Amino acid sequence: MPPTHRCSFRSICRFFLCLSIAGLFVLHPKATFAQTATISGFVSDASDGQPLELVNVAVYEDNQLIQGTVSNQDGAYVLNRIPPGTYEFVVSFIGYEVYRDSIRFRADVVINRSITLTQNAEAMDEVIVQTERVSGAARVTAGQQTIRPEDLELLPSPDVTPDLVNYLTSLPGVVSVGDRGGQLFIRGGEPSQNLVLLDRMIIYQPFHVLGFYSAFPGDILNRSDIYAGGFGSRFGGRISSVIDVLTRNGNNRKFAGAASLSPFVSSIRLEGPIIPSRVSFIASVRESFIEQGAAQYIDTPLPFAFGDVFAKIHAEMNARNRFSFSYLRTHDRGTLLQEVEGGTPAEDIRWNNTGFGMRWVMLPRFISASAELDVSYTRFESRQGLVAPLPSIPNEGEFSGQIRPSDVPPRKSTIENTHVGLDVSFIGDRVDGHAGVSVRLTSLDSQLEGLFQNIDLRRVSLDEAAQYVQLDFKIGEGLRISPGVRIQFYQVSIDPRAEPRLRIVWDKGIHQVSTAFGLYNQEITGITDRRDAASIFTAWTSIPQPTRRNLRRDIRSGRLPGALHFILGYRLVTNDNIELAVEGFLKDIDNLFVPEWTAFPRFTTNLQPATGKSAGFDVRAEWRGNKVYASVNYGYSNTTYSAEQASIQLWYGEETLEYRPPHDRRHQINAISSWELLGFDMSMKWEFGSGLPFNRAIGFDAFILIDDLVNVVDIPGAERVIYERPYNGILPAYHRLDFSMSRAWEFGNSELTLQGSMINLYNRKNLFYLDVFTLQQVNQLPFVPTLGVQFSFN
Amino acid sequence: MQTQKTQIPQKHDAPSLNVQATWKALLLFCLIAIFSVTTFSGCEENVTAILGTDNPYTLYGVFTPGPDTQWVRVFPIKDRLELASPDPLDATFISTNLSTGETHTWRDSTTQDDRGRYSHVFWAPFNVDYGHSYRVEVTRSDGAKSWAEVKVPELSELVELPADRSFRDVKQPILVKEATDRLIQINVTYETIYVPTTGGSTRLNFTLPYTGMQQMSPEGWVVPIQLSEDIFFLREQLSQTGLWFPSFGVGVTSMTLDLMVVDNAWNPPDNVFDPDVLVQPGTLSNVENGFGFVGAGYKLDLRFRPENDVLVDAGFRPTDDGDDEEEDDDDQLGGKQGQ
Repeated sequence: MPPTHRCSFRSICRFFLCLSIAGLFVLHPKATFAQTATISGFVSDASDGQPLELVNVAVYEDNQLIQGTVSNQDGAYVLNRIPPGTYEFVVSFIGYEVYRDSIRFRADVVINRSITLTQNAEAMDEVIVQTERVSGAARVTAGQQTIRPEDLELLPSPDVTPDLVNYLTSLPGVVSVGDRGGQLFIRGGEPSQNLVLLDRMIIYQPFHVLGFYSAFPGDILNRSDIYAGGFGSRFGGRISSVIDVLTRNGNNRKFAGAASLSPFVSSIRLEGPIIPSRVSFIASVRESFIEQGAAQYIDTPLPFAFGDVFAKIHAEMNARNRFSFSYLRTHDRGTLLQEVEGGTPAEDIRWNNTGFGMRWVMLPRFISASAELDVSYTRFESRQGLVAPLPSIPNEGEFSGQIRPSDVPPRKSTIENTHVGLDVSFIGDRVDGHAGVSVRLTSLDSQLEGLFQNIDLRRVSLDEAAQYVQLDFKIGEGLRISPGVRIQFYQVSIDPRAEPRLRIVWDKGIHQVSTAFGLYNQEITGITDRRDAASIFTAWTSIPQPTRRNLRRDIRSGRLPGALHFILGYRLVTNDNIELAVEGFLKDIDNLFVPEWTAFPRFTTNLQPATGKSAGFDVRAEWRGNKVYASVNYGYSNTTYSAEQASIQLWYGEETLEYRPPHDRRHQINAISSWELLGFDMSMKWEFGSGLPFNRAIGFDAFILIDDLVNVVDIPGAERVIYERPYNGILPAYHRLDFSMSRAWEFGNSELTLQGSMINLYNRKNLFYLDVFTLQQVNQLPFVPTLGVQFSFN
Repeated sequence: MQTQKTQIPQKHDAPSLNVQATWKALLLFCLIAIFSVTTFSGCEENVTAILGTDNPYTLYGVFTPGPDTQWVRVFPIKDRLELASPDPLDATFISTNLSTGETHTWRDSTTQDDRGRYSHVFWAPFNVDYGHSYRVEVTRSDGAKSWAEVKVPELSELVELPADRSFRDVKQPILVKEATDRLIQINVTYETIYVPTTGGSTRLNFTLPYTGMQQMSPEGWVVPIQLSEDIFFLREQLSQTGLWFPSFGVGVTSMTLDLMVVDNAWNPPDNVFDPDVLVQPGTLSNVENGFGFVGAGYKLDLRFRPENDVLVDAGFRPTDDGDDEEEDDDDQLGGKQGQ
């Protein structure tokens, strides 16, 4: 990169830093100068040191509330604007002993007080918790939904340890192409348009090749926030959705662990104190056991291997600082299609995620705010190649456009990302403020061997800087308005992009109405050959600046993918047990890059620009009874792409080709139930998805380019598919019933859990992939009974 | 911020078991399971991936006067991608000279490529005539047939017309005499000399595309060769290879115009033979009830050398006529353009 650019980038960073510091004071001018007091600290569980979220923290005078707030996901709280005086300081949380203390507050003094709460089951029903939201299947607010580890246990799973992805795929609007492939499409958006964060680290492909598993096993999670769209200004660089996952800390009081074994996965988790009550660790290792396990007793090849390693160290440095260091590594290998004679050859795909990062949560002494500094590095590498190279065939082929399988060397794509981010939150009476800066250094490298012919892919370094501000106005009568703006510099344009965001939530008794709007851009995109569902190799690439050199050669030049989101939702809480939610959404996406249409059954493609529009709605209902749980949701989605291929007019008589992309699942139903009976935990899930579009063929022949006095005797011709109009066919609907049943036996501090599961209980032959060249059908998992065992201690 | 009473789901700490509700849930599950198993068990929906077509064949071939045998490659349109059998194709191939009524029944032959794949080429031993129209018809045993009609263009010849010289615009027109059909693959090759002969190779050939630049006249098509424009291209090419010597310039020892006279059906979009475009079935096709293309045409070429003063007016260096005898030293640079 030219030195001038570096210099410019530093200037931008300095500019942002100054602006942000100024913003902190503008946002909260009275924070350091008002004649009031502040108390801040962390709340944690006395038994294991876990931070407690949504804890009610308040000061009272003669039982009159003076100020109150709740702790955040790190257990941090900041209670400010307290008039000088002596008050009763109360910290309460459902199921815990109430903490009370008398504290004298002095003007302009920030008191720090970290609290540990002791569990008290008897108090559970008596405590009033002040909270904005908790998790739940129908707890969706303007596209945002929180998932907690206990939610994951409500779903059947082939393994004793649940996994986040199992829950995600039960949400309306989340489409996976099947139980293999590791790709999620959220409300019409493509997988590369989803921002997935683990402890603030970007994870590029976190879902394992077998759809039940991801890099997020339930026993390391604290909370996950899913933004199916309309996300706030804290997040940027993606145009579809955000999956923000935070892991829990290790037990800093005593050692604990678990080991489990199932026909799919074996895992070990260990946690404990390094310095008791101060520093803890948690480590989790999972490794697939499919080829040796499940594949041995079901008559279906399952050539998959995957695993993940996660480790985290958390330190309570002092009463004002919490520090954590997280590490993740995943690996996947799989062959999605088996080779058949005359058909698509088997291709092997592998990918690895490696990432580590630190989070430093601070409660500064000089300002009544909480701050978080994140530094992370992640690396993603994917590779696709033939399982067994075919012999090279000399002197074949009559024109250069056709590339044979034997000509295709492995394709690789690597992306590295270093991120530094600072976020500051202020809590006020009527308005909360959030501001932050973010700097990302990204390096991309691809060796595609002609996979996408009309784009330049090479090693590129990319620097991005962004700043955001978001204000949460509490207007009164349950109305909250959260405008925000994210200002981001992209390489493709000199001027920064201002991305406005807006969220409005109105709570009125049992009703809640919410809406969200936002503009989003994405400079680093993943390009995938979506002509068939089994193609999951993604080339990560940046949008190049338009130059005279690449203006014609690289169709991405200057075309920054962007999206507009609009969400409108309504939620009804009829009583403590039943919730209903309805939400509509619209995503308008510009500058997509999709494969050009071609009748060649070949291994390379040109890309063409396209636009996308996705609209739909979902309906959710949840019932929580005593030891019985049930939820059902329905999602409708309509996604259309419009491609601008030059030949469209010639072939179809239309300027643009409008079609349903292969992930356009129109209807989804998920029904989930769990209950306890005679000491057994049982859960059941039935899911239904209408058929996905695919390319139907009229027949097969061959093509010879007649551009001269061609001697047809010497030219065998290239195989050709006579397609109908693209994506005009619909695959059969997908539906499946899963059931799990588990029971735990306690032995002192140890526990033995047995779980039996039945995946695809009625053995539905769900189609994963149809090879139109051979009519070979690859089905998803058949009926699979599993038995898992887990031994844990604490 | 609202105040409300909430209950965090905690699976193992809930109050005492509500037996009635639990049994109801279990009963519900059993009913769903029984219904599901009996209704859906092992069910599999058929998916129609191949729609099929009534079109039986795809044909490719070129009728051209001269050879004593004509060949057309025939692909049956199949409902799956599979290797062709070496057995004779279920097809009867008949051609008819629509001008004379003469018919030929063609014979099947099997070819095998380097990958071992079989395919079928039909052939018949006869000459095609200029200006005659032909119909080829391939019929399957069930009566389904594909057919195409082609017209071989009239014989024409290339004639060098007087140069058209005006200020900074020098053209050498070539008449394609009495040709009224289409012209494709029009190329002009300059045989040039770029430095005084001092031993070694000093000649290069440049081929420039002229497809689409022909103009219709009462005598037939005219290809106006833009001498004064082409010299800029030659100069640029020489400069890029370090062979441009301004003190010498570039001379032309000979020129060649070659083209194809074809029937009107041989008409790709925008005059470009782009395989990515033409591969779409039906894009360049004259086969009825089938796919593919059967063309008719022939090639013409003319080697000539404009007058020296014409070349000089266009900016070329004058050369001796005898220079064009040293053809063995020629190199090709630039290659064919626009193919």
